[in-house]
Amino acid sequence: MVKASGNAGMAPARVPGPACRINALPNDILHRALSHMDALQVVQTGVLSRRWRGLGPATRRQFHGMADTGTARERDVLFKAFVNRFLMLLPILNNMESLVTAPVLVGTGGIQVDNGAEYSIILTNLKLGEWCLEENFYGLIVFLGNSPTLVELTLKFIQGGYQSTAGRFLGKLGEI
Amino acid sequence: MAAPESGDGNNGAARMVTLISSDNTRFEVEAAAASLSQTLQLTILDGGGGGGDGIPLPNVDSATLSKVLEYCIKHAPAAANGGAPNATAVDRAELERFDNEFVNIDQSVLYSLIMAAHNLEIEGLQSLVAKKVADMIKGKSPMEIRRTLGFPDPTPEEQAEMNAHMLEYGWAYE
Repeated sequence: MVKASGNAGMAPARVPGPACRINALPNDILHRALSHMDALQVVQTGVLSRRWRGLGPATRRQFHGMADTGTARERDVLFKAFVNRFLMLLPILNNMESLVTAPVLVGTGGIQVDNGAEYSIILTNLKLGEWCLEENFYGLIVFLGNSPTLVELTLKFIQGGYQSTAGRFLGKLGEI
Repeated sequence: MAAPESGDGNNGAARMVTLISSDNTRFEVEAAAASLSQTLQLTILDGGGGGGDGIPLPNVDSATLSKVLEYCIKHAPAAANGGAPNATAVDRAELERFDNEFVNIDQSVLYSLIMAAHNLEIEGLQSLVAKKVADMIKGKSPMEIRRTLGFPDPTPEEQAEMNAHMLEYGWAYE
């Protein structure tokens, strides 16, 4: 009972184990744990149970100062607004010494870029990659929805690679 | 005439408070350490927990409380410096080493610690244990995640739902 180690190796089929413990945790705590993961991993926790699949839409980040929004459509619009702002940042970042990493940081409620420009976006550990460029940005939206304790955003650009990424964003944005 | 109550750790002798676990074990710690708990902070500011009184914590057993206090004692000096902006790299590295070691524990202990950190509202510890849970999940395949967290093998019905989920988010499972 006290010892429950080695659970990664051997699956105690049908024996109530640590699962009971993790499932006994309130949503607040699970959201906090999810906020340390990237969107890909957050989505993958959906294999655990209905409850875990439901953790996504249950809470949503305030985004651009707007209150929680109910529908997928609204979130979609919000996210596209985010991408627009993200693209607006590109020229600024472009002028910075290093294109490879441009950390962008935050107190509460705002992003401060080196030149002093402020953006009201609150996120962290957001990794933009091909996988998150789904038609409806669902992966990113799930990520935002599961990140109630976000305090920091780090944008990373891969040298020479970001243009195609931006291009893909633009392609999607063209549909709005 | 002196007003030792109002000192914020600048007094000669640090003020002590007593915490009482659910199984009636008494722990005497510096008020500064116990005050990392938002829940306890006000009580302590009001002068509670001193003398023979003690603050009862009916939701935390002695094993867990002892672990929680180990964290608080370690982190109290840095917290007193307002997040230690002038902490040396060595100090920070030491805290990081301590934190990594601290959560290198059995899942059953971890879950007790998570609940205690939550109930006592100890921000740093809440963050640390949440990150530990995240780390247990990171970089694992779906079945590995289930096993790590101790989920039983899925029933056929659950398996069907899992499959539907994985199909819906195919991009996350490539």
